[in-house]
Amino acid sequence: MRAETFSGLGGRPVAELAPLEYCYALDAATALLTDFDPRRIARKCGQPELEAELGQRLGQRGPTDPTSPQAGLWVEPQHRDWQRDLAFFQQTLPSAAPLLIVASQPLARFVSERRQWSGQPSGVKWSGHWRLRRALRKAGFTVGELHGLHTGLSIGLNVLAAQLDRRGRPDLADRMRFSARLHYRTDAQTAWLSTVALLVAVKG
Amino acid sequence: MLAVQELTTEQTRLDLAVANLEEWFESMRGPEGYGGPVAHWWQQSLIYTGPGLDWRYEGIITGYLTLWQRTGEVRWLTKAIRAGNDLVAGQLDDGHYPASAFEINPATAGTPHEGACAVGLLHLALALRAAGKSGWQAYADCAEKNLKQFYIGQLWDAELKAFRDSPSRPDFVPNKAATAAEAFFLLSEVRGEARWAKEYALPNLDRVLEHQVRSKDGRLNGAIAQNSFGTRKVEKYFPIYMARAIPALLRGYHWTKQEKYAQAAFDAMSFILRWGYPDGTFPTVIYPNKKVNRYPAWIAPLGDILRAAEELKPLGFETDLSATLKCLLAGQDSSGGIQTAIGFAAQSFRGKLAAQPDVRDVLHVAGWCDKAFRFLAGHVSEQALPPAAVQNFEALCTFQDSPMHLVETPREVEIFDLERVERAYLWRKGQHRAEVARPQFWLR
Repeated sequence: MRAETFSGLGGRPVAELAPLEYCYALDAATALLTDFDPRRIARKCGQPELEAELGQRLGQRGPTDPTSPQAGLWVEPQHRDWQRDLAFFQQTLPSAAPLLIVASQPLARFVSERRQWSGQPSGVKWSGHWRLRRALRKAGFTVGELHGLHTGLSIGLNVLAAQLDRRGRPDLADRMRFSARLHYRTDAQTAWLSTVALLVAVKG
Repeated sequence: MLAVQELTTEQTRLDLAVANLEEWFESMRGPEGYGGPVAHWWQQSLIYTGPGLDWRYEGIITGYLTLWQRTGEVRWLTKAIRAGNDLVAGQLDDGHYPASAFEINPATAGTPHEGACAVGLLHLALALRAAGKSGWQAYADCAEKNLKQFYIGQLWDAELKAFRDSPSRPDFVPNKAATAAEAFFLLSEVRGEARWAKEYALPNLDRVLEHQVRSKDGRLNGAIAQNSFGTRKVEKYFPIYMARAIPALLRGYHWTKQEKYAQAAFDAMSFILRWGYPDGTFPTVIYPNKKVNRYPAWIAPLGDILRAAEELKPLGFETDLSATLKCLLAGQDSSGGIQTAIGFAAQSFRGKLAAQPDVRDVLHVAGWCDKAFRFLAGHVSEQALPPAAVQNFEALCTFQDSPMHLVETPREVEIFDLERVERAYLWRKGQHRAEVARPQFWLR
């Protein structure tokens, strides 16, 4: 594993962090890509607000050797250019290379912090993920694991926690919030019912 | 005679405990500082494991300084300086430190963490200057730069005369503000300028006092609310955080001789003790309805409660915290690290105290162990510490309902999932990220 230094981390202040589900997804992607030298991970980030988060995890600079990447990380494909980006990964990645995709899902519309974000993420449309998965297969990728982050269940438990707070039971509300945290991620079939998805594809 | 022998045995045990804990800290160092995963009430940081220039440096620097002052061994001063150098070398141009947010690392601009770093640095500057040694200015300058650019420049609310917890929102967190107050008292001492204490520390402490419960109902009297958003207080009371406010309140008392600060510190500690359990632990949080969430019951962080009680002693506050000290020492594992807590798995609804600990209970965390180190360092005998005698640490534990086997060596922390029969987590010490983190370890 490479020697790391602070210099690659940048300085992302706590007050400016992206919503938790995006941080969670990027951390998870980092964990799945740990075998790869970050300098050889091809990246595309369609959401400027997530660029700094990505940089904090993989270093501020893009791949130093973009001609021979070993893996890909695609953050928030946008409606306007997702096909172009997919073509880039299709052409750039070698056979058997993993491509990790972090994408908002329809429930992300309710994440208040991201309402000010620019662009039109392709995943927030109900048909977005279906189209993307179909296009990935067509481009020669095998679509594997899907992780949903900030699941419907955790949203529901947090709503209940807020109710308990209002009813004067902050003790139970806190326990409910920790239960919600334990259900924050799922790889079950209900993964689509979460705000953000982490999709793992492998180039055929 | 027997009593003296017992005392000696106890002292020997404590000296060895500190030697072992110090050895464990050494294993947590990388080229840029002390790293490792973090388990906390609010979040975890299990994937980022690189150095954290956060509140761990408060306890590490002051702990080493105390060891040096008590034993006269220069090697401890050298290590205090080395820790101070981590902060000086890491400081960013804007005065912040990278990875200064503990459980939210590697984010920067963490509170109370950057203030706690200033506390460590200013103690170091004072100790070096008092010993007639050169180089103290660099540590004072580093702390001052952060306090001016972050605390005064971004967090000071001139209207409220207090430090906000965030540059953009009028929220206030008493224990964090108290840490900042401590830093400003120390800055006054280092610079010989009263204005830092008068203009920032004291008004800020007055705002802390506004968050203290004054109630005829004895059980809640003295509690300090966890935080407020504008005028809305969040009435949750966390003993370990309240304990962190006490040293600042006492500095306020010593600076002004106004009894309100000493009284507030007395009342806060009385509240904490009122809610203690016979085994020496405390609930993590107490609510206004007098219900508690006991778990996770902190172990290594008990150092801050013990320290607060000790600082109150000269003012006549007498209490017996021997059960708490015993609990803290019993939490030390064969690696020299001290367990974080008991009962993390019982934090949520489904949680009952399980037969086996949660992974987070037995994870040794630099930013908790520093609190134990700081307190225990003040109690070693005035002679050289014995050689450390640490070994690998192994524990059967659970994580999100799966049985796990954790092994910590001086080189790595490995957790094996016994149900899936696979390595679920691996952190090679010194690396910025876990090398293996199966999905359950993505937990934040």
